[in-house]
Amino acid sequence: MRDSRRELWLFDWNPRFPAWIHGATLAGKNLPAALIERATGRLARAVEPSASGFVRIVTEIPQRLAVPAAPASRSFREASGKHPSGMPRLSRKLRGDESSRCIVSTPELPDAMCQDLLDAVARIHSTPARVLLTRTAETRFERAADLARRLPGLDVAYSVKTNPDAALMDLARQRGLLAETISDAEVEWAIRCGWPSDRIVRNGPVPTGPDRSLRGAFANDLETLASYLTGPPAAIVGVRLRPPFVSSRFGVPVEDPVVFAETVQCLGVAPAHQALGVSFHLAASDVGIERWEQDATSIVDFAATLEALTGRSFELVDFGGGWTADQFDSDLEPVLERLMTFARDRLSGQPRLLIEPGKALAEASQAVLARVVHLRREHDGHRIAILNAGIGDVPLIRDFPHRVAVVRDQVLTVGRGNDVLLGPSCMEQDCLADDVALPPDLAIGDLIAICDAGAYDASMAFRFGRGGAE
Amino acid sequence: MKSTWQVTPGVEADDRVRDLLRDLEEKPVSRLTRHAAPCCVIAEAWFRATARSAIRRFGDEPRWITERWNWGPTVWPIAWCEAIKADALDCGALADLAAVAFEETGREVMRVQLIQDASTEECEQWATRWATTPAAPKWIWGRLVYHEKAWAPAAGDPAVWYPEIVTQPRRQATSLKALRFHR
Repeated sequence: MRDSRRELWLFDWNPRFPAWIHGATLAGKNLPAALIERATGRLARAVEPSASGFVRIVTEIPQRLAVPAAPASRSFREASGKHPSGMPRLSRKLRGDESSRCIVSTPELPDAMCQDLLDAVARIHSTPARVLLTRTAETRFERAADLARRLPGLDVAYSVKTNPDAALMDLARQRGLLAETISDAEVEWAIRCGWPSDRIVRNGPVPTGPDRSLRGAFANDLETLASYLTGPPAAIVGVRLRPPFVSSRFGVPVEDPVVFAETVQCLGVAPAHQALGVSFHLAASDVGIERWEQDATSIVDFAATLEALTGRSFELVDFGGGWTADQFDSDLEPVLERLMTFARDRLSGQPRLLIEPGKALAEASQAVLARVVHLRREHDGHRIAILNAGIGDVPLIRDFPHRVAVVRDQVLTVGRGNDVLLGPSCMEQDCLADDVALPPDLAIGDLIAICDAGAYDASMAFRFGRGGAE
Repeated sequence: MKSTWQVTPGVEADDRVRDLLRDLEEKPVSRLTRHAAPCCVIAEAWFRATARSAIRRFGDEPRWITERWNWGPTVWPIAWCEAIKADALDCGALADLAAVAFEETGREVMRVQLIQDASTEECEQWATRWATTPAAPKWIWGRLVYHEKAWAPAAGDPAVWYPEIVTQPRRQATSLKALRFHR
């Protein structure tokens, strides 16, 4: 500390490791190991740095003692085994590799997407408008269908909850995908979009009723499983298993030996004629494809253990969805091949495998078109552009990178810079981007495309600040 | 198959150690028992499947065992179905679980019995804690303590002990007097 006379004073000395010890390890500097190495001469195991640095963020939230506090995010608690901090998650975001949604430089838009945007602009009558990028969407859904063709024994379902837009549903159905639903309302919507019941899979924490003639229905808990086995809603009745060392509100926690024994008992008394399945859901976009494969393999292993203990066999293993488009395109196929081999080796019934991609197919398939409605320049020179689309139109704008472009006679990708894009509402968080380089000649009335808005940005969009009109 | 007790050089003349080794000559390593019922089959199957999950996630060292179970007194015999539901297990039960977890790695696994010297303060604290379970087996004689471990040496590096995985590290006794291997 420097006093008023600029003299330095040592006023505190803590001869202990600080609270940010894990962050240092993530940056490649394992301080406790270095100390032990220094003291004992034993070489510490080398640490592969996952970041060049880190930022420790502490949030102080005032409490009202009589009011329950909001629960801490489960993702933080399970971020790295015993470590309760979110540092590993933050580190993965900073690392910028395939295992996380990372903040990276905005890439150039593909030619097909640029043409899609120009075509979409010609169709709209007003803004903001969420538009289908036709060629891009067709390519995404064709990739899913092609994956199923290349891997015999694999079925692919479209995750309806991701974006139930009729045009996307049509693309999925035309390419032979099943429909994956999480509610009776979604089942009804899938039927109205043309799926027969036996091409629909039902997941979700709320049970459905019996005699639905669905392809598969997976129970989120043992009470629901028992109910399904009594009055099956589907040809295949299954149970969602939560892998060990995963924190989630969903699935039967096989990590609990008492619950595992109850699962054995429940499956063991299932009617002999009832086809059975297991499911597993973990977003690879959150945990990375390597961790996803580890847990998916563990679920197949637990399924094999259940088969051995019950004398039953599983006919369907549902691996859920949750891949980014990059993971789906580049990483998933070899992982699925390994899982299929492992399942064939361990499971007695040679089950079919099912995946349920959503954002991998839908995210790039739609964009939000908006107009610049206000422009101003700050004293330091950076510009602020306010659009007539905001956080209600792209509610996940801050959760992962969205490509941004200015659409005129041609499409100009917006790169990284110091300019800011804001939404039109009075919400402090209605900031679409605070690190973009807007064209020098950007003007009021210019069209901005916020791409990668076709997944949960669409299904979770909300209306705010636009009055009561539809 | 068990080896003979290997006494730390310089300890051979210690009457306390020699007498204790004679008393423990026939003591086997701790093994969880199995009921003649599905409960223990299910329990062991669950444990092995969980151990394999842990190997995929975290590597071969079964540290998850000490993260899941506390160290504390155990009444023997204890069956698989009882052990996995217990809040705390002694070093023998933890060592048996660790050995089974190591088996899932494909490595050769050995059980180890040890006689160690601990401080007076440690022994008094442990004895006080174990006094709450009078039926738990005796393992403290003055400052000498009986301990068990599982050891799965890595290929090419058989002399490396695994870090203490079967008891709380901060309570590790400080001085090895004798040890014996069981394959």
